[in-house]
Amino acid sequence: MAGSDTTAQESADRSAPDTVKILIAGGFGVGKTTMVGSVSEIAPLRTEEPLTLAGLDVDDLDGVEEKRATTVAMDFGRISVSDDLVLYLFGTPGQQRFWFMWNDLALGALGAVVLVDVRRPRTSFAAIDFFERRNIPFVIAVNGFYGEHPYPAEDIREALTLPEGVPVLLCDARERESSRDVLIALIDRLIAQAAPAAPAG
Amino acid sequence: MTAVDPQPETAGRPQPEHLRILRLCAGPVAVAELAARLDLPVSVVVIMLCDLLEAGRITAHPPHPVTRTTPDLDLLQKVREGLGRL
Repeated sequence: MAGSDTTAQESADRSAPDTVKILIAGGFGVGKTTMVGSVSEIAPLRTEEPLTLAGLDVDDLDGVEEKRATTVAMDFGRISVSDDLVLYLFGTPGQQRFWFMWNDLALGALGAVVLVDVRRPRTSFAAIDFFERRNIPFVIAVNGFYGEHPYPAEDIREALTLPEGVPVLLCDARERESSRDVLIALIDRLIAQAAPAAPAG
Repeated sequence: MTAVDPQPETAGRPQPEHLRILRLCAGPVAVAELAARLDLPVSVVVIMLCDLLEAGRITAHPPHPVTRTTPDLDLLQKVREGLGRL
């Protein structure tokens, strides 16, 4: 950082833990907030960002006179992986019109979990598309509402027309262990991609 | 973000919001976490953090750089082990 004291910076860098982030994505109301909350070691936090409606036609405000700005919420959780490594979880805004924010969030992320609601799989199509296009590794986590999974993972893979190798997991976002296993599956995929030449067996 | 300890004597009187930030980042903390705890938009918090940074009251640590082409296996293994302990 320009202008900052080098020695102070160095000593702070030694004590400050390394940080990595994973995105939790999916359609509106699919359970992103629940998942961030179930694995985070801190109470899940929520930040709200005011947005001006830049696209609003200034000459045509009939009926929307008061609606000049809106807010977009983002969930935030933290897991201390070790003394010197912290994992941050970012629940991305679900509403499709806020997706431009995802570009910022996706920057530097290890990968993503795309949550899918089997009752409304379409709501997560756009999220899958987003990560596919940007070549960001992701896993699909099917959130069984009330802990039920009416369809096997293979059926869901077919319904979502997923690319080869994208893992599909059945989970319960309310359960800490279930959500943790989804994160582990994502890391396993990243490790597998990083070491493709590893001999089988 | 981490507050500098001790605070530089030359720094002027900070605003109440600045003092709250300094209290919250006694240990390293992410900008998004600060924003949530302060109940302020990230964009507003960033501006205040820039003030504090300029005054030498805090230090900034960039997150671990992640590149798609050369993944950091050690880092991934570490995350994997940490999650396994949860």
